[in-house]
Amino acid sequence: MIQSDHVVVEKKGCIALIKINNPPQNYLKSPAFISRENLLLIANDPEVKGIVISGAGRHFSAGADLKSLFTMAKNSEALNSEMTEGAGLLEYVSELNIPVAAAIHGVCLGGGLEIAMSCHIRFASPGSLFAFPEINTNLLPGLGGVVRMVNQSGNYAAISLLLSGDIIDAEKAQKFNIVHQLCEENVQEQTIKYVRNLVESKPKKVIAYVMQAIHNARKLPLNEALHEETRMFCELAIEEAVRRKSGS
Amino acid sequence: MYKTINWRFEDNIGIVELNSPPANSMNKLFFYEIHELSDRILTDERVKALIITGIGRHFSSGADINDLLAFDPGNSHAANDFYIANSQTFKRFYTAKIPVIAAVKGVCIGSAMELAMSCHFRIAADNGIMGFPEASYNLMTGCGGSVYLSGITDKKTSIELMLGGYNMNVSEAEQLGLIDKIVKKNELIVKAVNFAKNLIQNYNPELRNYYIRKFLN
Repeated sequence: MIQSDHVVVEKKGCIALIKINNPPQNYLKSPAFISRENLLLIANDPEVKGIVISGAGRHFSAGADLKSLFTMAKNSEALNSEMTEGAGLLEYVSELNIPVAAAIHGVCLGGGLEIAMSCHIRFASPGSLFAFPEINTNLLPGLGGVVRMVNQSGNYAAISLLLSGDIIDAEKAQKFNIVHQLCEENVQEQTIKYVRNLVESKPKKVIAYVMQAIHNARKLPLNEALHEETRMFCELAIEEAVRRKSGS
Repeated sequence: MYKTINWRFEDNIGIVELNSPPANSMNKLFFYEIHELSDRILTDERVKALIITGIGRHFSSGADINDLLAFDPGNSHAANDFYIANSQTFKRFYTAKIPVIAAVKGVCIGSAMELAMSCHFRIAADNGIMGFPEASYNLMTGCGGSVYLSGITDKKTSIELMLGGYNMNVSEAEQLGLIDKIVKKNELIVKAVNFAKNLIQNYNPELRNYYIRKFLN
């Protein structure tokens, strides 16, 4: 599959594995870790029903490479457009209509942690480490990481991580709801297996509608979310009724 | 008065019992009857709290799959209207000004779990089983399940429940925040009524967690 954008993509059955590929620390070469076009290609592949994001080699990602970031910052327009692109990409990841899981090992820092927080599901190896070190260089996460931390981990976790820049271990990250589950061994395989079990036997349309309902529930007003859910249910029910009629 | 629902009213507390033994499955008639009943009781000022439960061993097995798909695919508008009405019925409980309490026991899956999730509080008997099996039948929730779940769980748990379709026992459901209190099954209705009695003085929906801590523990 795709091998550009500083990522490696492999298809593992119905799961697409996207590996951030800039070893050893997998520094992000640009705020968007993959181009939107390539992500779209992966997500729209009829065979792909779930995505797992991990890092090549020993780490998930150490985040932005400060040197290139500060070089980019000399041109405020370029910086702005690159950051907007990167933030938009992560928003797109979080709203994808197939499940997206992060398989985290090694370090997961700054922009790397922002990528992880945009995933619906986050598994990690017990030795993995997490931090938002931006504060150490008088910065803050700029790809939606602050918002996602507050929404998913609460004010306490968000403030203590964002203001201190402290590195926390996987156990603490689990307490902060940054990590949903710890995997003793081979976190990448375990994560793939977990997502595969959720999606493998279901038609992609059912997966897409369930995911859409889950997203809608968090962004649409109550009545709109309810109507959309019923509308999608009806569409699936009609198709299933037709399938059963023609099958019998 | 109703064929699929048993309706009782004592001391300002209304009790709605799903009544289609053995598993109180939700057929078309049930949805018509609950629609009418909900309108009647939620506009009755004497009703200060509501408990929803099932007759016998189970809360409800939800809508029957054959029933769900028993419509003329050529006339999908009628089906559409019917399902939207059902969703609006459950929304009435969710948006009710009075506390609505689900007393869950035995099986509580599919649309039954949607009904339980539309309630403000959930007390469960220790034998309860919950889940959203819809995706396993190439379907999804259609009565607000995804919406009510979002107020309680994160996306990961919603995905696990709605796509995975696993059945869980009530201890697992309690850990996920879907159940507020587990009680012995022979104490379920007594505990639910006592809880309702405690709530009806100056009920304030914003104090949900306080009520659970104070009256259910």
